[in-house]
Amino acid sequence: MATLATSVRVVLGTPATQHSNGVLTLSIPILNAGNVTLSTMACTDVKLGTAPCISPPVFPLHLGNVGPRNTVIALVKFTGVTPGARLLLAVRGTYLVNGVSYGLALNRFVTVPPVAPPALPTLRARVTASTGNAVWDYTVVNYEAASSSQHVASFSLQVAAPVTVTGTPVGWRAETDNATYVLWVSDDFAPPYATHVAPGQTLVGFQITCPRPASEAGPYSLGAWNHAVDDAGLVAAEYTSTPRR
Amino acid sequence: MLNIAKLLPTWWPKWAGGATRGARGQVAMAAQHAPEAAAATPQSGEDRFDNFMRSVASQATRRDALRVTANGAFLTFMATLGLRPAHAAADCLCRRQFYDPAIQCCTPTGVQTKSPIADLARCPDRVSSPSYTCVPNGCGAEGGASFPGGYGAASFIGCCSAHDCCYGRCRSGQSGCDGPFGNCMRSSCDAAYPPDLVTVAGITFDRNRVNRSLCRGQANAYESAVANFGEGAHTAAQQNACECCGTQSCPSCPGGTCSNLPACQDPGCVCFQTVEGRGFCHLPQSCAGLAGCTSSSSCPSGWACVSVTCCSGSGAICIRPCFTIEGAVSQRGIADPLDTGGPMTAPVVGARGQR
Repeated sequence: MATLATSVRVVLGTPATQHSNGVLTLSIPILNAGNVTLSTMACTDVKLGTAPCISPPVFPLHLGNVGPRNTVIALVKFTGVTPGARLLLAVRGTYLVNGVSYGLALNRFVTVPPVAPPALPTLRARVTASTGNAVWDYTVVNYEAASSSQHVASFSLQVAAPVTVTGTPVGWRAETDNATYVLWVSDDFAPPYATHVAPGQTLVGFQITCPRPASEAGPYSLGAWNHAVDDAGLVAAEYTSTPRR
Repeated sequence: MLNIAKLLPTWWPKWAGGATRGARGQVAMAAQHAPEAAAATPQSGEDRFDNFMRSVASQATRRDALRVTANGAFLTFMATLGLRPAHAAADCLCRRQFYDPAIQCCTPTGVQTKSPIADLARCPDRVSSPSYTCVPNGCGAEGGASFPGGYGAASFIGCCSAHDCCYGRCRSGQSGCDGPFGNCMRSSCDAAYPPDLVTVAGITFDRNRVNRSLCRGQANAYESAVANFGEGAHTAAQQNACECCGTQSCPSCPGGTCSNLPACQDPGCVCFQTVEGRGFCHLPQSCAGLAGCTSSSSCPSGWACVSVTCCSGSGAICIRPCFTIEGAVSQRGIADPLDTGGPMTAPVVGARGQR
């Protein structure tokens, strides 16, 4: 019986771009144009000229398994770019075929688009992380305008390693399966929601530990509670540093 | 060896080179397990190539796309001249072009690559590709945001996988996938955080209301990002999940008797059936001096061996194609030195017959 030869081909597509608030966001499509599944594909480095990369804050960025003729998206953000500039996008990564690891190196030029307003309303809030000794400490920053009614009420973190929640701010509680997610949410279930993170405020005390000290990028979301209407508000979704799988 | 460069028409884009120029830096690839970083240098004509790449090959390698570009244009050019390449697997006709229905489709806009589809709009009769399998990989980035695969105990992974495979179902509409995606996530939120009523100071509260609403808020944001920014992903999935056409019959020259040889689409040309059984568009010519043959391979390049002609008693003879490119000059409208006024291989029809 004839056996089809394994063909491995990976194509870097044209990134979708957004340029808002001084940040250039690239949604980079990576296509498996071969005939074999590329397992556990991960970006290990992404460069755009000399522009500083602000997201993900750490590599690798795991993209999952990519079947033949399937596409995955790598989301990367840069600052300090000028509209109209042509910059070389260089993506480096790894993937497995039949259990063997291979390297990936893809390049293409990207022209920085003009600055435009954000296409979708997004919560102006973020998480900063500090790591050391197999401990990950997170700080939630709400930088909405002072007049905003968007108060941060939840911090949802996706992980891919065994974790233990070792820190939760006062007035918040944690939910976790110790393997795939950690959710910190304000314990307030009725107004006036005193423990929500108000515009301009910062909340520390979110902490996890993991037996493995190394880090990788993991997605998180911050959910706001709109105090003006007493209902869920805007959402911010980004990458932060999480324990490495 | 055929010098392609000499055959390229004047409109051949410089950036395409003679199909021998190095691939451009707009898309790079890694092949055969050997990571390959393509040189990326500014090029003229980049946008044209890039637009093509956006459709064809964000689905194929850059080199493949360039090959398709070059070969497609070249074959179109050759077919326009009535010639078919020796490697063509079939002689099906599609609007003056020969094509191979195994890898190409005859569409209302001409010959299209069967798979991957370069332009969905040019493949109105696309069908599911038997070689495509959706491999969902969970939740990911969309619309400039990187969403976690759930909210606490509410997992969105199944919803994301179903959404991936909905995009990858041939002829699925984007909105028909995005709506159920949002509903799926919201259902997960409702299941994970059902009403949990407590009474405090005589007032009843749902302790899960905030969590459920925040979860649904994240689901709404994810759905909105997909709906607003998922068009490219949907198009790419459709280009890979579909083939441009199903099995097509092979419209070809059926041949016929001398009196009813069907006309080709080019004025003055008629259809013959070669001794190999293929269709062949022929420009009528004088019977005098035509060589006998046993197969088309024994005829001059581009000519064919036919047995049924209007040349009485001649047996199988070599006849010319509609147009030849000897000296890179088409014979269309040019007086033919072989037309001596004697018996002709076929009745002269169409505009050519008016001369």
